[in-house]
Amino acid sequence: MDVKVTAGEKLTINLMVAAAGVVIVWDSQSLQGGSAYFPLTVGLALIILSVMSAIHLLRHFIGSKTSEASLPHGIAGLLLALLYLWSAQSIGFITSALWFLPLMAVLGGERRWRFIVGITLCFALLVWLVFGLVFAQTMPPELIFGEVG
Amino acid sequence: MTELLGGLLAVITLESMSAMLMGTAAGILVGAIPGLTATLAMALLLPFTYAMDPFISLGMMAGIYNGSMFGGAIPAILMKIPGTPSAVATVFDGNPLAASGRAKFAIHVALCSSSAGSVISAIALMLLAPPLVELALKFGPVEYFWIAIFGMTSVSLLLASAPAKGLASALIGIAVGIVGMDMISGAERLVFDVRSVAGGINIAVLLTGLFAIPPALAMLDAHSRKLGDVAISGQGITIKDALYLVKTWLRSGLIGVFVGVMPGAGGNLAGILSYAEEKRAAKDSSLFGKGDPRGVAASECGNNADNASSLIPTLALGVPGNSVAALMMGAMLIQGLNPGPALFTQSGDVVYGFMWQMLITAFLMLAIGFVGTGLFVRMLKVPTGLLAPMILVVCSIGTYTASNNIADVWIMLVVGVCAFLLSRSGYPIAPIVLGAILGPMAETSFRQSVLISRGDPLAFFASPISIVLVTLIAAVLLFPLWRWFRQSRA
Repeated sequence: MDVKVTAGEKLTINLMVAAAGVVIVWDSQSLQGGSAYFPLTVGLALIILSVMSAIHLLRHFIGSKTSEASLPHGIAGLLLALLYLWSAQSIGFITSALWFLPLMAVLGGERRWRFIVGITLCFALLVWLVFGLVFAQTMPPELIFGEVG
Repeated sequence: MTELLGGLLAVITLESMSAMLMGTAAGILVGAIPGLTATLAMALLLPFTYAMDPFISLGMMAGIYNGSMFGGAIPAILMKIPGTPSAVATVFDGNPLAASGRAKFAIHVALCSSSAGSVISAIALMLLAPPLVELALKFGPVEYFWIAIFGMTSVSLLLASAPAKGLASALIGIAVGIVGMDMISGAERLVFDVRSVAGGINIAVLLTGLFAIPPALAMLDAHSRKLGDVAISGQGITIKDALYLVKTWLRSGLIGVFVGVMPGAGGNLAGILSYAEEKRAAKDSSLFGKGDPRGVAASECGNNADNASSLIPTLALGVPGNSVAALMMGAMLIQGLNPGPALFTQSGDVVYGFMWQMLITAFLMLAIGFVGTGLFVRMLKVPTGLLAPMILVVCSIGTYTASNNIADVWIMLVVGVCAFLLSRSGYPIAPIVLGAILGPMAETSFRQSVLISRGDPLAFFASPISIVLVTLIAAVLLFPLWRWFRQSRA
């Protein structure tokens, strides 16, 4: 399903890319000789190309469609992913999946609660079996599953 | 010839065969779910390959690559939704066949054609890569510098709707590749006192973030898709039907191989071109678009024939031409194998073994496809809203276990956020990866050339190979200008 991207959003991203170019140029100023040439060139080219894209966007002022997630869904998903990672550090990857999966599923439009709970538990168990027992991968200590690996 | 046979013996082991079998089955499953692609599956697998034997990791990768291309045909035929972008042209005749009660036949045609395309492509890889290696042995730093520039510019300009954004993506990739210590002077670049990136950004972390996070987020919007009836009906393919398609396979296979070698072109272009050529060459093309099996055969054979051939420049020159090739290269780098001419002499068994794995997985795909079609069709009913968090969890665990460093998982997520925002605004992702891989190669080659030539700029245009490459780069750069000029005159 294609979702709409506004010209304003595109312009903001263009400016962020230009800002990244400025940072690269600024960093290259602290370097000497051969080490500086490549980043300096890359940074300058990035600024020029982003400004060209921004000017084109301002002149034609067009939005477009993308097959990526809609911005609210994408941002909400990313925030949940950040929270998941933050909690995984304290209570473990598999234990954190027990709250992360249901919330993401609801965000993705799934409303069958028993199904969500069943799949979440099966998935957590499968991950524990595969990564913890079969492959014996070392992971941060789990609140529920204990030491894994 | 001896090396080729040595490679075959190296991959005929229980472990390697099991890896290929698992990879192929996983590839078909992934391809059958709309929104999941070969790149995503390979990006998910990549962090786990650190602890694997090269024959196992590359065997799984080969299976995923071939399998996913066929898997994409299943929803294209049954639901009119291409499972992967490469299956776009399969919809044209595959769905009308399914609508007329011949879904099983259409899936079998797609399966046999995918397998035929993969076989043709693997043979092309075996035949074309070694002579290219012979040529590559004559290359010096100047030639490698131009090859890297050619790889980046062609992919950037061919993949992006706006040339400036394609080139900007490649430059972002080069900047990512620069992060860390300069290997010549020892200076730290773009590190900003973040110690976790002082050694550079891990290629597996980068690839997982770029190729797994944005598609996972895109699945959160897929819940509105109407699945409808996805039953398989009718009779399967017969030997007579298969023999009728041989000419189509040969034609589409050659087109797919040619497209695969071209940097920036992909399976979707190979599928569409093969379909168009088949329609043009047909004596009676009136059934095309209404359920002609030759349409399905051309599209599926073409997009699979692109697979192994796209790895020819990667294996022979160390220059990936598309995102899947970059992921394959990433898998090799993780194993300490540096694609390029030296790899053929230093690790010939692995390179030739990998070529055989591309060929063997084509036959495994045929066997798995005939046996497991019913199961793969059921995968269409998997709610994508639940797949998205599963992908994110597996990505996180994979990235963490690769280095036992939580900082890498944060970097993977940051890369994913950037990829999500950039791709929404029309910046293609593949050039970022190519920039990150080819950028450092271009810089090192450039600095070596300057040292060798004592700063003489003419040294960059001294050899015939350099002149050919510079001409190609100029042509690629001028192509968008020419297109713009033609459009403005029309």
